[in-house]
Amino acid sequence: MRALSDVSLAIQEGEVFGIIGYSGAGKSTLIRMINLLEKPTSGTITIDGRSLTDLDERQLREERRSIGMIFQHFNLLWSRTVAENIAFPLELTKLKKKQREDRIAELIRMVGLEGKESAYPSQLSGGQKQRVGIARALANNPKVLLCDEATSALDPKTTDSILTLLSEINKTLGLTIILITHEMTVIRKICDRVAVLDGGKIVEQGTVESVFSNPQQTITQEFVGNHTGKSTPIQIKVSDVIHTEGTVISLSAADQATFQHSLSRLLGNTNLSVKVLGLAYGANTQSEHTIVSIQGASESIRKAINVLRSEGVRVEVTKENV
Amino acid sequence: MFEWLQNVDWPSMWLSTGQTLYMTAISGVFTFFLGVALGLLLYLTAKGGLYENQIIYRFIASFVNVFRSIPFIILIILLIPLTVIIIGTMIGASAALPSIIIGAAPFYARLVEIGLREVDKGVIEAAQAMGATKWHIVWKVLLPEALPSLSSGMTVTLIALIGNTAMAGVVGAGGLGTIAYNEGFQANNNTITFIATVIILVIVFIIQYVGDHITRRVDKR
Repeated sequence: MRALSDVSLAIQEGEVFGIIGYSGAGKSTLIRMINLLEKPTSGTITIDGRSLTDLDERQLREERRSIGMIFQHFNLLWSRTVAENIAFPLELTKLKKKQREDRIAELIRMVGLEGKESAYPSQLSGGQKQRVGIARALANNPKVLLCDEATSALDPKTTDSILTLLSEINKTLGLTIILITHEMTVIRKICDRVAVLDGGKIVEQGTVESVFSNPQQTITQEFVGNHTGKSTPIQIKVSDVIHTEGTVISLSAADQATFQHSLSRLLGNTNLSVKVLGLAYGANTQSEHTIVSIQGASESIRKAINVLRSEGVRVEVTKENV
Repeated sequence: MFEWLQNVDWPSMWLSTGQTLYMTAISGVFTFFLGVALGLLLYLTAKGGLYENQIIYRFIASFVNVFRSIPFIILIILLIPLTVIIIGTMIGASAALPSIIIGAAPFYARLVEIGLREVDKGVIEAAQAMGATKWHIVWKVLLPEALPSLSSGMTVTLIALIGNTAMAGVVGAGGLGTIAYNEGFQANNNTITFIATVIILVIVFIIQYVGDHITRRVDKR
């Protein structure tokens, strides 16, 4: 069985490169091939001018020390404290004890885990565990950081904080990051370029902007669609609303059928430019609000809102056009 | 009230206790190292292991299975020639050691193997991704991560092993088993049998308690 075929990727130094695909697409195999945890049957992998596929076992071990990797399930040693986990890769190189300790302290500061040095992984939250994973991966000053679904086991808020950290590391250290994910938000948030993987093949690649503003393949359209709330609703953040142009209104109705009807009529209004931003949930998750932005003449907007209200849709104006 | 205790020859009772403790301690130490070594070999040479090797795996596995299946009382007799070669005699506490160790180490090796299998594959993969050698993986990942299992397995093995030291009394090993059988059962002195049993129970309880305590201490999961 072929997990991957004809995969050709050129990743630039210092960029954040994302590979997105559904489970079973071959993402995991692909990222594991970069440090040869999976051996390709044919082809080459070259990092910084060095062909990994030509190295013997000892040389490969050396080379792996300059490729950091973080994992979905963190893969920390339960038996070691935070500091001891970070020390692990440093123990593999012949670093003096004093230097090792300095480096550990520096890494702990970098990932924001001060005060947790002697905690065991079981005492940490998921986000903290991933921070340990990141510190451990960075210990030997790698050239590349591989992220294997690094945020998939985390809640959205923690995902955000981990992505922010990765983005900071990318900027301050100029570290090249290669990540695989099935989440659009991850790609949107930190990637410069993206490749879409489907059935073991790269079906589309380019800058995040170009690929997702004009998706060519059905699968890419699905990922983009998911993101704008067509099939899987995503929650709207306050910041999204603030940065949206035009009037933002929040719609809800008791009757779904009527609501769909009214919404499609609104979307079809030729006098206005209407865009569905996503869904928001009230304090009780029962109440679901569709957030819509409307651009157009204020008179037409007012009229459209009145029509919606007459049809039994609850309309709240979240932000007036300014 | 305690007149019945006068039937007991206390100096020889304490001597027997000492012999039991001696056999347990020495064979416990050997069983531990031999069991860890065999367990590691089983784990490493098994299918998908770091040193996958069908021939070595099958060889060790059959050795372990054979010696685990032979009833201990038969094992003692079978090993008499070997004992004479190693210890120089077939009588006494030391003479019981080879058969106790060979009886217990394969049992412990299986527990070690199970414990090692429970170590998260992801952690081993992470170590490989960091450029760890196989040696590093054994010493820095596998054994430390499996320590709680090694400890609880050793507790179980030690207790089974005490049972075997008592049985070894049959070949004149001495210890509480011998005194319970010779002085107690055969001389029809039930008090001695009773006291020997109580002492064995106390030893078992202490081992269980200490073992549980150590297991809890090393378990950071």
